[in-house]
Amino acid sequence: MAYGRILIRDQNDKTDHKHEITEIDHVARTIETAAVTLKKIRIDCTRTTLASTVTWIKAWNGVPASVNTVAPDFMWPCSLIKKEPHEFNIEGVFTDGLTIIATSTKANGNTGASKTQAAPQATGPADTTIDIQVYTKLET
Amino acid sequence: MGVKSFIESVADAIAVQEVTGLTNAAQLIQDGGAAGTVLHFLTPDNLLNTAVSYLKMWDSSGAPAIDTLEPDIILPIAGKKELAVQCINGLSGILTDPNEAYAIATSTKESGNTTANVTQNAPTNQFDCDFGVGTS
Repeated sequence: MAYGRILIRDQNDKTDHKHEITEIDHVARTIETAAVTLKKIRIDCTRTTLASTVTWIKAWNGVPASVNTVAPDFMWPCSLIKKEPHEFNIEGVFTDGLTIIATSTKANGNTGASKTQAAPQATGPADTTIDIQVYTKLET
Repeated sequence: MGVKSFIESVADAIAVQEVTGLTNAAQLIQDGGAAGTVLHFLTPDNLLNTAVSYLKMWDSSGAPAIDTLEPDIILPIAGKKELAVQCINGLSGILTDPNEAYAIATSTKESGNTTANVTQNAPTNQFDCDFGVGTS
């Protein structure tokens, strides 16, 4: 029952912003510039065609100098070709805003080695982008 | 899936693995499913730490080399906070190694990669997490 109480509380929480981000890839999108709680992400990988590969949503607090060299604060996978909603409620982390990418590259850059973040994978003429909806709540 | 049906699924189909004192030692998270683990929810508890801790998970056959292998999941939890993370339809197709998903808690944001190791330090104080998992 404890889990039921937690889930009901969080699903009733309101969000301030809903970001409809179509055709996102490895190019950074800064969607918030103030402190926010990352409430939930709906990931839609269905326009891609490789069911056996994975796309990662990576997020940074504020604006990273480079997505290839700065380690992300958050990393969440989506198996192609799925469409999945996830609720996170991450509070107190994205204090300088929120920048996000979608990439087929699992490895993250760190201070010792850059890792180039590639676009989501696809075959033939299929899209190398995905669609996501990001729900955030301003932190005061 | 609505709240009611989600709760029913928690009761009926999801095994809850309670990990008290998760550290930088790789903890096996398993559900016994031959096709791998479906992640339904996480409740990381960082209430006893003042700094951010990171829950990191690997899809790995055997305990991963946490300093050199990049994880599949990185979830930040601010100091004095706990999260209730829900994968509404279940996160499937990620933790695909039979019985072999692993997790750590660390205060280290960076992760190692194939060319540069990064030592994953344990949180200063206790970090707990319940893992709600099912079969593929």
